[in-house]
Amino acid sequence: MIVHPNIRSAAQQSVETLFSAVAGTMSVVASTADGFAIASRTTDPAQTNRIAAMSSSIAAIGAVAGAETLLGQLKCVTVEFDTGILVVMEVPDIRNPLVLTLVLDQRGLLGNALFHCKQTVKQLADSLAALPRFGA
Amino acid sequence: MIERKLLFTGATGAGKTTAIAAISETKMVRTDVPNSDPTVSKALTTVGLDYGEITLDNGEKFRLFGTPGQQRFAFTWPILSRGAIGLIILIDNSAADPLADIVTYARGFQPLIESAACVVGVGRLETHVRPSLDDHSRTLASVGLLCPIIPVDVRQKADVLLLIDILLTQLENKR
Ligand SMILES: Nc1nc2c(ncn2[C@@H]2O[C@H](COP(=O)(O)OP(=O)(O)OP(=O)(O)O)[C@@H](O)[C@H]2O)c(=O)[nH]1
Ligand SMILES: [Mg+2]
Repeated sequence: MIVHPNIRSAAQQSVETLFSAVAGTMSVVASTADGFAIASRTTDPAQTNRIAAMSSSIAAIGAVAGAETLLGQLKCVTVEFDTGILVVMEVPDIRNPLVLTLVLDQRGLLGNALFHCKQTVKQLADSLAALPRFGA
Repeated sequence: MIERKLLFTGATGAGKTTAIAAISETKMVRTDVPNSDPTVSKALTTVGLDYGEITLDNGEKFRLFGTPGQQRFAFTWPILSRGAIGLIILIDNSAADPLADIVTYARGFQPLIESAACVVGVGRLETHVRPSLDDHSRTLASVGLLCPIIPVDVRQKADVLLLIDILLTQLENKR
């Protein structure tokens, strides 16, 4: 997978920040748009790659739904379950758009999660934009 | 409502998205994103699904779905299989191991193949003559499957329509 180490470390920093900021967080995964995990913090590492793949599908289907309904750029997909919430957000970047996923158990509060996710996405997008452009 | 649903599958680069784009009469729904796997020599890859629609000459309408090809998206396969009446497996004969690919998709879609019709299209045979169509046939038979296998160039509308035509013939014979 072609992902520069600087992107990985920026992503890992954001993942750590988000993980400790939101109560009830089980996993935070940052992945490429095509579903490869590049940074994660989780209580169940076996899940990381599966979460990355599923989140890229969810983000892509969300994005296409937004385009079809003329609602613009995807910001966030939230999926609520009996005992938790999944939040999938796109991290916009011209060269390396990423997908950020947060998995919350029943202690998690959606409003709180969304607030911190948005902050993290903005931070990560800013640090990606500030990185020197690698390669072509 | 268009009731009949056909599903395209096969390995990454086999041309599922290309095939649906070649025949869809409505603007395709695409979920292709930048590919970051250096072993896949393609700029974009499908991570959700492809969707298109076609009306055949006899007036029959079909919804066309395509799966992502890469294995990590195999969780989409049963979801996309739901309600399909036919499966089109596309093989890229220039891939590292096309016979392993045919086994992967024959096995991965076994429930659908058993309940619906199936056809296999093998691409890039002009430049990659091995494995032959017979080799593909034998491999399919070795996993207990019998279905038509034809050479295709999925960029050609006529070739994709031929796959659908054969699939529908299979269905009629099943009835
Ligand atoms: N030269 C040549 N190119 C072909 C042939 N068939 C398909 N292609 C090309 O192969 C590529 C197939 O790409 P896609 O349609 O994205 O493949 P896909 O099966 O949707 O792949 P994933 O979404 O990654 O699973 C396209 O660039 C086609 O133009 C062929 O017979 N000859
Ligand atoms: Mg595709």
